[in-house]
Amino acid sequence: MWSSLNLGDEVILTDVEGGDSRVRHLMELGFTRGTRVRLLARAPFGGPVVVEVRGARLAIRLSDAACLKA
Amino acid sequence: MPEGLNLAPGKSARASNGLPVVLVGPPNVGKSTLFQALTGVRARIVNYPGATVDLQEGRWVGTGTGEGWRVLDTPGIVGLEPRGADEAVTRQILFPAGVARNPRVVLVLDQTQLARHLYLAFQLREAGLPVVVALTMGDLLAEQGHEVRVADLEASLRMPVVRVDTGDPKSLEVLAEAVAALPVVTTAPEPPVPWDRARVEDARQDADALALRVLVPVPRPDPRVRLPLHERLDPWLLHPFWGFLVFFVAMAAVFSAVFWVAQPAMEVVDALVGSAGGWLHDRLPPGALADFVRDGLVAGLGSVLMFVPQIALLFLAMILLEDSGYLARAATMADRPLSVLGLEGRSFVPLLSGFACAIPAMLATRTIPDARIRRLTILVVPLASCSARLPVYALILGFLVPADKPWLGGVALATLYLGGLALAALLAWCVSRALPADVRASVPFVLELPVYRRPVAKRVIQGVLLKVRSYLERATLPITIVATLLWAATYFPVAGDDPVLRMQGSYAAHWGKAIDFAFAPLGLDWRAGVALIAAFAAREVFVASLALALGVTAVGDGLQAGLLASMAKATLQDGAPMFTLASGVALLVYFVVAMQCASTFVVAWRESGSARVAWGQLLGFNALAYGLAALVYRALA
Repeated sequence: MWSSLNLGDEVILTDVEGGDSRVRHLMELGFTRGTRVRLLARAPFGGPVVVEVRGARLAIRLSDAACLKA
Repeated sequence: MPEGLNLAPGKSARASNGLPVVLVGPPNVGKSTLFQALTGVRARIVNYPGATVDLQEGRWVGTGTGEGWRVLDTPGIVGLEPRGADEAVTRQILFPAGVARNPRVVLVLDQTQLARHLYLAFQLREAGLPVVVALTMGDLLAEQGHEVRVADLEASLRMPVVRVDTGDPKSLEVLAEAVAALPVVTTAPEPPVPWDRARVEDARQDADALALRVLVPVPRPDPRVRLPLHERLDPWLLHPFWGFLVFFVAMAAVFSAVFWVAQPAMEVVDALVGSAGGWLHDRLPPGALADFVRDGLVAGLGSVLMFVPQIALLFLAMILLEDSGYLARAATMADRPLSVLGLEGRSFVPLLSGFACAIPAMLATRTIPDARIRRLTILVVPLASCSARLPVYALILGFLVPADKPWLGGVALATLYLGGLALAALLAWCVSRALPADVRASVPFVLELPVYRRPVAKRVIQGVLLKVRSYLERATLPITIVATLLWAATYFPVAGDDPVLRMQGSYAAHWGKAIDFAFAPLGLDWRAGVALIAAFAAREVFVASLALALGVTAVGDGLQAGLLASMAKATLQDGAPMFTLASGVALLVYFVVAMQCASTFVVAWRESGSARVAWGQLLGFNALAYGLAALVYRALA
């Protein structure tokens, strides 16, 4: 999903998938169902994506971002 | 300096409830800034068992209670369930074992991040701790056109809430009054059970709703609609071309600071230590005591002080980058290649600094929140060829490379540096692969990109001083002891004034001779061996020690020429020349790989909090270095 978005695009999370502890950590950071997430920047060569969530800017690895479904 | 954290009632028991007031909060909320504002320069680093992070304890004066309270800054947390060793420390401090009281907590929250950060307030409320909420970043929120209705927030949280501004002493007094008014909770502290997914989601929704309710719009001071700085800058700073350009310039600046700018300062330290030693030496009766004071004790202290300029400059650069907000972007840029090796973006600056010196590099790993990744970074740092290896490389390459082909020396030198780097990458990859996959993947890697801010001079300087002090407190004694022991090994038992005779008759030389056979696979004998032993004080000592072992008495500029001539003449017992292409390359390979620096050993142990890492480097890297050098010798001889 994250590779097809343009910078500035906003999505609403429908689900957070993955192992229990990883999901809880992501939720604690603010990634819960119904949250708006905006793609701000992409690090080169498949590096982390920078997203805005609840007013914060977080860099998160693509492998973790893959847990976030919209 | 105390090893443990004193959680027992101190002399200010009455005022502080026996426990320190604990500052808690998510990362990047301005917690440390608030701590500095409360305690000023009276802070000190405390060690906490099992923790390798800097925990700062200070005295919060200006509380109207005379001597003030002890106050403790803690590693940032997102929730009460720890994500790594450092967050576990925060939890241990909040819920101390064996104490029948709860510490009083100042929960520091960023007002512009209220929806996210209120989650932690809910968790602390459930835990039943006495908490005052301190709201920071009010200026930023006002710029964004909002304000927090404090009374509503207090009523909903059932916790006192105070707006703090570190530039406004009044707000800090109000905070102190709120802390003083906290009830004393005398039940034994008990960490709450971890919340399940549903609970986390509920709390998140409640936090959203509450934040929405208490945030009210206010007229903006600057009504022009303008994108915030980070939204304009981040796409550029993470751009495949411009981003790398900025990254390269910033990292080149860091590297120059540690590698070149520190050089004159280190020479000054060296000269000062040298003249201090000489001064003391001249005032003592000639003999072993005077030599011990000059060459053992003072030189040992010197090898501690020697690193101060590098450490100060590295941390100056790092704190400037961090406070400006760029360091998190740089780490984002570097994350992808490092993640393949089991490291992360924040490992980059330490690894880069390792090419100057492993010691500041290891101290710089404290910015890596995950203890496992921090240890792995510390483990591979010594494989970056530090500046102390350069004199050794220069000597041996000067011997090996024909004078009419200087370019060959350049190529060889680059090969040595790249070889060390490749080995570091390989080792990191192997070690991280050895971990079970579920351990590796359980904690998501998330880096919060703070807003860009102008660094505050006072805070930067205090930060640098604190790092230097922390290094001196941790490392001075062990490094001096090891350096003094190494000196004694190359000095005793022969008395007399002739340094060549003393070296050749020393314990180190005896040991070298006793394991003479061990150097044969490298094409060397005990004379190179004793220099290798002496090099554990510092790698560059190899050059001077080899000169003594070969009987070269020239000093200064003549040393190198005399040494090269002696190396050309030196023969093994069977009459074959000792220094050949094969043994020279073997020696180079040994120096690239080996961990032969006593100071690094001490700091690695301290910083990783793991004896396994330090001994693994000392024994493992040296065994590997020896094996590779022997292979190379056999292939070339």
